Amino acid sequence: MRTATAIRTGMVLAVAVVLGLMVAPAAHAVWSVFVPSNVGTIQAANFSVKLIGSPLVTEQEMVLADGSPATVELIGYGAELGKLYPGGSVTAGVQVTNKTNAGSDFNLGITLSEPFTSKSVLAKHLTVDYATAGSLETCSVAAYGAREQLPSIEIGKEEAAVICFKIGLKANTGSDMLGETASVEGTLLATQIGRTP
Amino acid sequence: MNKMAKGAIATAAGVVLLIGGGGTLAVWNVERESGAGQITAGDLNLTTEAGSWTVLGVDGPEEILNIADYKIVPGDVLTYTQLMDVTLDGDNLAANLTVTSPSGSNKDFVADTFEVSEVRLTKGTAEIQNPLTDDVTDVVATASFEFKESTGGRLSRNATYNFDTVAFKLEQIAPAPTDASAAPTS
Repeated sequence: MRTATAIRTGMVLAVAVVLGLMVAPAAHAVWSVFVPSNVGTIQAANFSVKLIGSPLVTEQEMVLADGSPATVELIGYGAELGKLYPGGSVTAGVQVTNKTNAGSDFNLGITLSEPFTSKSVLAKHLTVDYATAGSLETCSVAAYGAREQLPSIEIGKEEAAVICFKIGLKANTGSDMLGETASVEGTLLATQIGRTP
Repeated sequence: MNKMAKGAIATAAGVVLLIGGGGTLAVWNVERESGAGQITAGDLNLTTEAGSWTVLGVDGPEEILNIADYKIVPGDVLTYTQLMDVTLDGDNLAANLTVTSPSGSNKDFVADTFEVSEVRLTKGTAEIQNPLTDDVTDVVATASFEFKESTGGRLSRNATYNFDTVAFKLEQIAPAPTDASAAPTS
């Protein structure tokens, strides 16, 4: 019995020595130096475009938090949008501001879709003209024309552009239209303008 | 003289002989300097300059002062550059220079909207060849990140790509026994 125990003990010791020899090289201490880099973290910019239809209301993001497009209700200057008369017109505008936090140049191109007029009996008596202006307040004196005549709109960082609308009621509109209502809707599209290195 | 007086005289004479005999203790000896000399340790070091990012602009690369404050947009191509020097001072010294976590880690960049190259080390136009056995100056660490211009919608906005765990490691290779250190044969 004593011999068997001695043999077992010897084998355990032998295995331990072999394991020790196998493990030892991994723990072999040598000189080393470790230098952190300052490569840092790369961050993508946001895509923030703010819209405002009147200085009297709060600016809002063009794209809402849930990803849906925002709707801006325009407010007339000089005359209320709701008080049109034959041969007359009212003006309003929307200001688009490029609020990106991009580190490099980041220009936006703004395009306006063909406006959609609601299927009201009044719709065919309405005219819509377009212009750009330096501010919402100057929409009333802007030089209006067809949508196709709008100059290309490019907005740099922290810059803004104003698109003005002039809604007119044709002079030959009959009195049967009195009290009728219609809505005019358009869609703004903001696109990053690529750079040409 | 009585016996005590004779004994005292004999003892005194013995002591005198012992004292006098001190001059005769010198034996042959010789002293030489060993010539073993002084052992001096070498050095292993890695020094780095501050790295910098550039963005490819219309007129060529433009330096980004602080990558932490810079937000990239589709179309941006960023390049990182960092210089470093390797010191290997030792007669039997070799080491490997490597990059830890060279690929960084992506957070929220949508696939196919970006292309990233891992951090790599070059000397001149060639990759660093390990093991190194001597000083190497102007080793260049580079990386690049492209936010593809083809990115549609608002994909990858506010996304981040983290290289914070990237580090450089210079580690000595355990020296192999040389002939000089081998045990003498009998």
